[in-house]
Amino acid sequence: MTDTRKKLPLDQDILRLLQERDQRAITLLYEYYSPALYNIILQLVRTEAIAEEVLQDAFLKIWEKVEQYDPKKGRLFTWMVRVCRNTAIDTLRSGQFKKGSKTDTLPDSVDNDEALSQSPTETDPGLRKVVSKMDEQSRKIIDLLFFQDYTQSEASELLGIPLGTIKSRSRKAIQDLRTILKDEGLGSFLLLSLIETVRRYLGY
Amino acid sequence: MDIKAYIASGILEQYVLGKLSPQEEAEVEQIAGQHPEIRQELSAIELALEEYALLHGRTPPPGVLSAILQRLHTEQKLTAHPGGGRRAWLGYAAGLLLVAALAALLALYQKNQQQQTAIAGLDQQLNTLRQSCDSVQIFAQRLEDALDFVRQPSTRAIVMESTGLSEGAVATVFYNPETRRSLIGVGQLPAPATDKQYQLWAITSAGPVSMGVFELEAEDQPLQEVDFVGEAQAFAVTLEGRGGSPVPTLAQMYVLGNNS
Repeated sequence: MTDTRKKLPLDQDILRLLQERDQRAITLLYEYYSPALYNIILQLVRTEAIAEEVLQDAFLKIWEKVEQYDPKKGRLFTWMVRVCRNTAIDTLRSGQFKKGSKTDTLPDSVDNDEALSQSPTETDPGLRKVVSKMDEQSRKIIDLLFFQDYTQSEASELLGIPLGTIKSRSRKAIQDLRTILKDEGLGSFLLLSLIETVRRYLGY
Repeated sequence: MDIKAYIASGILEQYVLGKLSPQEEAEVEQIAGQHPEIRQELSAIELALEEYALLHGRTPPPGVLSAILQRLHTEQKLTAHPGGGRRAWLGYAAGLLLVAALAALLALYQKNQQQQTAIAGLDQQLNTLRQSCDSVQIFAQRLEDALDFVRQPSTRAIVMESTGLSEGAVATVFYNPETRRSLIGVGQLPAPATDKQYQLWAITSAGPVSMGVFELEAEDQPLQEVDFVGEAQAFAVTLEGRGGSPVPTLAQMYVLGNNS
């Protein structure tokens, strides 16, 4: 499935639109990726109003700095996540907003956070299925490193795992995830919806 | 290089998660460039996290997309010049300067126009003043002339008094047989109907002779010039039809004075 997707020209199509300064690219990216990006931002800034502002700024940066994205180095989404994280961090550092202290907050308490109370875990059946199949440690390590942008040492401290094993643990977690996604065929489902979105915009 | 061991180390996951230093990142990129298996593994990791992130998606509040598009629209307008970046700003600044210069020029032009209009207005005023000055000058000249005439020793002033037809009526004839010139100064006469006019008569041995019609108040003329009639024994003013009459209407004689 990975190979099938890699051959599809969707990323290239969106990228081409971006490079041609065609604003449809933004609408397209927003329609497909904004929920994922908004969630990532929200995990970092914790407040919906700030997350909304960061999302706006991040999309403008994606538009302005698209020439900095190198397709040889990775996928467009990975780059967009970085842009969103950096924008969120810049906004938090701008002094107006303060990030809740990481080390005081257990990852489980995230679900108690007001802005995060309606976790998609509870609402999305696909996600529930995936999460239910992951072991607790794998889920936590991905949450910390990916969604909450913890450093390896922060994660090691919080989880009580030696720093040296964070690498192998995160590899195992992502490997698990890959297997589960493949088994569930969720990847194909998500892929089809992306193809659908792009087709609607590009007319093919 | 043991590619399998490299992949198994978990460094690629750290790369995708953005946990590596720039130096380590450059290293991974260099190795990935040389080994397609590593590139493929990186892609698989990226895809897994991407799909996981998509599953965690939360719909942002409504209105964010339109806000983004609106900001794009505004910012694109501002940087729509070719060249981009600093040059675009330079161009923009130059454009602003040009606009400012044009505005200043327009303001100067408008001010100039206003001043021209003001000057034209002043010109007109000056003309009006000159004209009225002229008429004052003329009046003064005539007054001076009349005064000169009246002052001449050979000029006699004959006051004509009311005949009783109109109480208090009075007029004066200034009469100079040497220079053969005569003027009339109206003291007080009742205002005539529009179709009527006062006429001055010289009474001679041959009878009344017309010296012409006159107005109660003539513009620019303190004293009105009337025709000279020699050998006048008396003067009289009658009210006649406009333009005068060949013979005086005696019943309409208002004033009378002897030239003795």
